[in-house]
Amino acid sequence: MSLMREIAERIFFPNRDPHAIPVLDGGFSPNGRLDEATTFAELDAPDALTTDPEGAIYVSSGNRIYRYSTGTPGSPTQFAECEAPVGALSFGNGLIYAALAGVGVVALDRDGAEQARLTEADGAPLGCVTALATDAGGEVFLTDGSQTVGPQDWLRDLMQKHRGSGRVIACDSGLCQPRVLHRGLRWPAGVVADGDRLLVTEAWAHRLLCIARDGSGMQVLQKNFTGYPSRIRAASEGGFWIAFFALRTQLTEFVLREDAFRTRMMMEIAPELWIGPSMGDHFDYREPTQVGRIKKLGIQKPWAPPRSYGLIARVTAEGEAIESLHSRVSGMTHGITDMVERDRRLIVLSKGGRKLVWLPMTPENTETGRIPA
Amino acid sequence: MRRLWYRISPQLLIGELLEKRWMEPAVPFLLMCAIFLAFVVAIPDYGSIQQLQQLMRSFPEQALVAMAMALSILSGGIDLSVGAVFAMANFIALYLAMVLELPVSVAFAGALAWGALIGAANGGLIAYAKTRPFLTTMVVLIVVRAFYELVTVAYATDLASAYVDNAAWDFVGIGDLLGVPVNMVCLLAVAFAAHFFLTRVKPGVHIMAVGSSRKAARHAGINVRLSLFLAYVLSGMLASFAGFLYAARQNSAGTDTGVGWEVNALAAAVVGGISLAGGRGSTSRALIGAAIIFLLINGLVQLGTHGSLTTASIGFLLLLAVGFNVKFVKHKSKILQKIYVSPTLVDFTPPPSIARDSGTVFAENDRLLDVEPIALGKIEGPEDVILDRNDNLYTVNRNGSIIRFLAPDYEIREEFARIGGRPLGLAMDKDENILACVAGMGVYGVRPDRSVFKVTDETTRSRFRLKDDSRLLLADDLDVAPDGRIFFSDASTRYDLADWALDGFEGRGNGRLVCHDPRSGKTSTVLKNLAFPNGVCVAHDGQSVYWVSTWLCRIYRYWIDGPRKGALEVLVDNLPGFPDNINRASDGTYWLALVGLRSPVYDLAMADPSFRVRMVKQIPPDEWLCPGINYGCVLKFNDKGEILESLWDPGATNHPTITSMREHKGYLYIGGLENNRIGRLPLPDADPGWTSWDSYYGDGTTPAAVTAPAPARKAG
Amino acid sequence: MRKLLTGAMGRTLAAALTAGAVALSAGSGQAADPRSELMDKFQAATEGKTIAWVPIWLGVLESEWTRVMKSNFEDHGINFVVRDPNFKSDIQLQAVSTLINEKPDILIVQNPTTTLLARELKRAMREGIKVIQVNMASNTLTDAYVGADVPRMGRMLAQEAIDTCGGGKGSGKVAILQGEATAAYSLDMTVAATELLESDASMSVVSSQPVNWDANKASEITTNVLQQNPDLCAILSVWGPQTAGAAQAVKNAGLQGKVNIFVASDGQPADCEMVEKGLYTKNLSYTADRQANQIVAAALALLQDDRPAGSAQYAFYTTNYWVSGPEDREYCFAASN
Repeated sequence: MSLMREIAERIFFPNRDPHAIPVLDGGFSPNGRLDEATTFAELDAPDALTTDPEGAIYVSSGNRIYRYSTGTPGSPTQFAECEAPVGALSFGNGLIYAALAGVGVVALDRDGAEQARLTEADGAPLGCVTALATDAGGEVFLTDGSQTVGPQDWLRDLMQKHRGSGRVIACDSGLCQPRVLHRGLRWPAGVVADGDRLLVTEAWAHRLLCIARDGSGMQVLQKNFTGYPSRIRAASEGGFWIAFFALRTQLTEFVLREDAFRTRMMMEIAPELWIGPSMGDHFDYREPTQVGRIKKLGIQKPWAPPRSYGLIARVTAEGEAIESLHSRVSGMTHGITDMVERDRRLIVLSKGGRKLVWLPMTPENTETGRIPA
Repeated sequence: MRRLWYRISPQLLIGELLEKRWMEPAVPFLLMCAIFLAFVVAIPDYGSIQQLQQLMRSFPEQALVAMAMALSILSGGIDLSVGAVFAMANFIALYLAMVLELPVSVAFAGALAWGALIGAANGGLIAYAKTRPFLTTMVVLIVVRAFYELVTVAYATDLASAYVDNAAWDFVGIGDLLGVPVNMVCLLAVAFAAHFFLTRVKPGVHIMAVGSSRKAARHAGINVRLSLFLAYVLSGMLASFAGFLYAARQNSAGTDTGVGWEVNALAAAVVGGISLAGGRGSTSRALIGAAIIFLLINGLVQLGTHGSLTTASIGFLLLLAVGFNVKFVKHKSKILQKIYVSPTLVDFTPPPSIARDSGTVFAENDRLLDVEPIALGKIEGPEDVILDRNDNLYTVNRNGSIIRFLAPDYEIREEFARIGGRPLGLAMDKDENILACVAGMGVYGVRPDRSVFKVTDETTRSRFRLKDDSRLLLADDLDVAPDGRIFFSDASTRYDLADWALDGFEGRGNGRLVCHDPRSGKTSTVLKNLAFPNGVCVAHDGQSVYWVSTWLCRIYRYWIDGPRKGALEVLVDNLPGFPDNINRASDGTYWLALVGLRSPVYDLAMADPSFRVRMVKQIPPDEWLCPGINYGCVLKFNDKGEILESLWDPGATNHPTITSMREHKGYLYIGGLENNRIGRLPLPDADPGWTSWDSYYGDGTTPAAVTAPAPARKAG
Repeated sequence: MRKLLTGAMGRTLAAALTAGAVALSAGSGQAADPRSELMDKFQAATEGKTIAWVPIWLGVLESEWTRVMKSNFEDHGINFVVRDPNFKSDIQLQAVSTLINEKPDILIVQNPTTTLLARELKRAMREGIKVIQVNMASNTLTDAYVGADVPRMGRMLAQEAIDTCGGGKGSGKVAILQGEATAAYSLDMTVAATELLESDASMSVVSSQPVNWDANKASEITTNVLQQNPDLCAILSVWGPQTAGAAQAVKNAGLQGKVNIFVASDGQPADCEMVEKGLYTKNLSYTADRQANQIVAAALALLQDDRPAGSAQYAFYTTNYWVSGPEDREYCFAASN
C-alpha cells in the first residue's frame, strides 16, 4: 500500500521531497577556499580557539591549551595543562575561560593558573560544555550540550535522539551565580552575545536561535541548515561566523528515522563505524560506504554524499548566509569546530584534519589561494 | 518464512514488469478492458455476439483515423488534417459510387488517391519546404474542410436522393467475413500491415527513427525528408481509407462528418501512450486509445446519458487519462528505480578481524606498499591482467579494448584489439587466444593476430521468469578447463556493470555460472541464482572450478570432472571482504582479490531487508548504502580452503578496488576495476619461471622462457 | 439498465394480468362488455412494450417531443428508451444499430440526412421492428411517417413571399436559408419553395444556402446576401432557431421591417417571441407538441396493428399554423425545461 502511495505521490507530486535537506547554494555555494588555505599548525586533537587583545592565539588540544604568542605559525608554548580534555575557549575580563569535558568551566589567568571554576548550574553538573562566550559587560555565557553524555560522545547523543537536555547558562566574570537562560535544547553547540540577546546554535535541530539575555524568551532565527552548526563568533565585517562540523545527509536522516536499525547499530557496532556524520579525523576500511562515494578511477567525487565535510559560513544577524568557505568531500580540511579572526585573517580549526589553517578574510584576496607575504 | 518472503518478492515481479517495453501499452490496454467490462455489466446484452458485431462495425473508421494521426506523431510531427481528409474521402467515394454509379474499385481508388494527394501536399510542405507540421496541417484542415462544405452543398440534392443498389458497395458497408464485419477485417489487415511496416520494413523503421531523433537519423544516413514525406502520404491514405469505409457503411455526407475527428484521434494517440515527442509508440497503441474513446462514447449513449453529459464526461476522462499518461511515462523510470531494487535477506556472521594488531591472517600489513606502478595513467580500469609466454602484458580498458604493454619494460602501450562493451575477466586458451568476458556482450576472444571472435553471447533462458535472461548481461570472469570447456560467471541478470553495487545492495541471487563447450558450440547455465558469481578459476588438478560469490563473501568449489562431478561445496565462508577474481599461484595455491571490505553497518543492513526497502524508496540512489569497495587486498588460499596470507596496500592509495592479480615469472601483477595503473610486486619465494599458460597447457616441466623476466624497476 | 429491467418485469406482469383477466372473464361465463374488451385488447397490445427513440440530439424541439412521448407512453405502461447522439451522425447510426439488436417493438427516429439511417431502418423492419420517422424522413419508407407536409410548408412560405414581394410590391428578391442540405426536411422544403418562386416571373431567388441549423452561419450568410442585395425583399428560412442569426443580421444592417422574414418552424417559444418582437415577419408553426401527440397516436396504432413490420406505410401529416402576432401564441408550446 505504501508503495502505491509512493507511486501516486511520484506521479502527482514529482517535485515534492518529504525529507528535504537544503542543497548547498546561495551563500552556501561550494568552493575550495578551506582546502586552498595555508596550514597554520598541526596538532593532535585540536578543538577550540580564542585570541587575546595582544593578538596571541590559544588552541585547546587534548588536555592542554597552547599559545601562539605572535599569532603567527611557529612553535607554540604550552599555556596550561588541565585535568580533563579541554574544549571551548573564550577570552574576557583578562581571563581565559576553558571548558573541561566532564568537569565544567575554569577561568585561567594569563599564566594559566586557575582562578575560578564552575561545575554545576541549577543543581545539574556541567559535564558537556560545548561553547563559551564573554561580552563587554564581563558576563560569561556557556552552552551545555547534553545532560547525558560528554562532548566527545556527540555522535551517540545525536543517534540516541533524546529529548533535548542542553542548556544555555549565564554567569558573572568570576563564574559565580550561574543562571539557566534556556533549557531543553538539542545539543546547543555555539553561543555569542549580540547586544541584549544571545545567538545560540542548536546542532541536532540544525538551527540558529536568538535567546534574550534575561532568559525571557527564545526565537528561531534560521532553521533547516544543511549542516550541524557549532561555534559561532562575531565577524569583523559584520554578521557572525558559524562553524559547521559536518553536513547532514539523506542517509543519516534516514537512519535517524529508523529506530530499530539505529538501536541495533548502536548496540552492536563501534561508533566510528556507524552511519552518521563524522569529523573526518579517523580512517577505517570498514566505514559504511554509499553508492555515490565509490571511487571512480581512484578519485573521490567532491559532490559525493559527505560523511565528513569542512564548512564555515558568515551569516547576518538574522542567520542568512553571506559567504561560506568549504572543504568538499574530496578535501582534507574537515570537521571545522572553531575559527577566530586576527589581522583580517581567518584562522580555522579543522578537527578532522587535526590542524589549523589560515587564510585572508575577504574572498577577493583569496583568488590566488595564497596568503600575501 | 521471512527469508522466503524476501526471496520470492512480489516487488521483484512488478519491477521487472514495469521494465518491460510492453508495459506501457499494457496500462491503456487494461483501461480499455476495464471500460468494456464495466459496460458489459451495466448494459444488458452488451457482450452479445450481435452487439459485438455492431461495435466492430462502428469502430474501424475512427481507429484508422487515429492510426493516421499516430503515424504522423510517430514521425515526430502531427497531422491535423486527418479529419478533413477523411470527410472529403467519404464524399469522393460516395460521389463516385452513388452519384456517378461507378464500380466500387474506382471509388476506392479515388478516395485513396485523394488521401495520397493531400498527404503529399502536407509531406511536401513539411519535409521539403520545412514548414511546421502543426500550422501546415491546420491550414490544410481549414482549406479541405471549406472545400468539403462547398461540394457537399453543391451535390446535396444528388447525394440525398442517390440510392443505388450495389452489392459490392453494400458488402464493404454492411457485409461480413465469418461473422466479422468487412471494415473490421480491413482494419485488422491494415493494422497488422502498419505494425509490420513500422517495425520490420526499412522505410517504416526509418520513419520511427526520424521520429525519435531527427539528428541521429540523419547521421545514420537516413533520408529524413523522404521518410517524413512518406509518413504524411501514408497518414493521408489511412484517413482516406477510413473515409471510403465510412462512405460504404453510412452512405451519407453530412456537414458534421469528420468534424472534430482529428481531436479524437489525437486524444486516442495520447491515451494509447504514444509520445507526442515522436518515435515512441506503435499502431497498436493508437488502436487501444481509439477503442477506449469509442467504447466510452458508445456505452454512455447506450446508457441513455444526455448528450451534453456524454461529451463532458468524455472530456473529463480524457483529461484525466492524458494527464496520468503523460505523468506516468515521464515518471516511470523514477517509479521503476524506486521499486526495481528488491532487497533480500542476507545473514552474515561477524568476519575475522582485519585490524593490523589482530594477529589473524587477514591483518592489515604493508606488503603492497612498494608495488611498482606499470602503465600509470595509461590505462583506465584494468579489471584483469594476463601475460603471454613472451611476457607481454594484456589488460582491459574501460572503453572496450584490450591493451597490450610490451615486455620487457611495459612502456610501450598499444591497443591490441577493440571488442566493445566493457571487457572484464581474461583467460588464455591453449592456442594462446585471449578470452575475455565482456559486460553487456558476452564472451569474446582475440587471436594472436588480433582478430576478434565471439565465443558466446547467450545461454539457456530460465523458464517462468518475466525477464528474458538468455542474453549475458554481465559476464565477469572465466577460465578454461583441461578439456577446453570455458566456465564463466554471468554476475547479474538484473543489473549491468554501472549498477553492480546495487546488485550487492539487493543481495539476491541474480547471477549464474555458465559453461561454453567449444566442441559442441553450446552454452548452458550450470548453476543459477548465485549472488554475484565473480572470479572463476579451474583448480590445478583440473577437476573442479573455484568461483566466488562476491556478495556472500564465499569461495565455492564446483566439481566439473572426476568422481564428484556436479557437486558443489563452500570452500571458504565469511571472508572479511568481497572476493573478486581468482588465479593460480605458482606454488599450487590460488590468489584471490578482495575488491572491497565488509562494513559492520552494511552487514547489519543486509540482515534487514525492510530497512533497505525503505531506504530505496526514501532516499536517492547516490545516498544508498552499498558494499564498501573503495579498499581491498589480495589473499592466497589453497585447495583445503585455508587462507594462507594477505597482502595490503594501507589506505588503498595506490590500489583501491583491487579486482585481480596474476602471477607471472616471480611477479604478481595487480589490476583494479577503477584504477589508473597496474601494480607489479616481486614475489621472492615464487618460482621465477612459472607462467600461467604453462600451468594450464605446459607439459609439466619448466618451460623455456622466451625472454628473461623483466628486471624489476624498484618503486620510489 | 433499470429501465430495461422494469420493462421486462412490467412485461411479465402485464402478461400475467392479461392471462388473469382472460381466465376471469371465461370463468364468469358472462358476455363481455364490448368497451372493456376494447380496453383489454388495447392493454394487451401496448402494455410492457418497448419504444425506442433516437433524435438527432435533445434540443428544444426534440425535448418537447420527448416530453410528450414520455408522459403518454409511460401512462400506457409502455417502456420508453431514449438515446441521445448529441448531433453526431456516426454516433446516431451506432445508436440505431445497437437498438435494432436490442429489438424494441417500435423504433422512432429523426433522420439527420436522407441517407444516413436509410439502410438500418430497412434492417430494423426486416428484424420485425416497426419504424416511425419523425418530421425528417429518409430515403426508406417505413411503417409510419409523422411530421409536417414539408413541401407544402415550402410552398406556403413561397406563396407568402410572392404575396409580399412579387408583382411589383417589392424587389422580388428572395434568399432561402436551408438547414442541413441533405436533410429531407430542409431539402424538400427548399425544392418546393424554389419551384413555386421560379414559377413567378417577378420573383428571383438570389441565394439558397444551407446553414446547418446554425444561427451563426445564418448570420454570416445573411450579412453577405444583404451586402450584395441591399434591396432583398424576403428571407425564407426552414427552421426557427437558425433564423435568429439571420434576423440579427437584418437588424444590424438597419433593414428590420424592410426585409421580410418568413420562417417555418416547430413552434418553440423563441419563435413566437421573435415574431412578437417584430424580428420575424411570420412564422409557420407545425406545433411540435401537437405533432408529438400524433407520434404517440401513430405508435399506438402500430402497436395494435397485428401485421408485421413494413406492411403499412402510414402518414400522419400535421397541420401548420401561421403565427403573426401575440394572438397566435397558442401555436407555440411552453418551454418545458
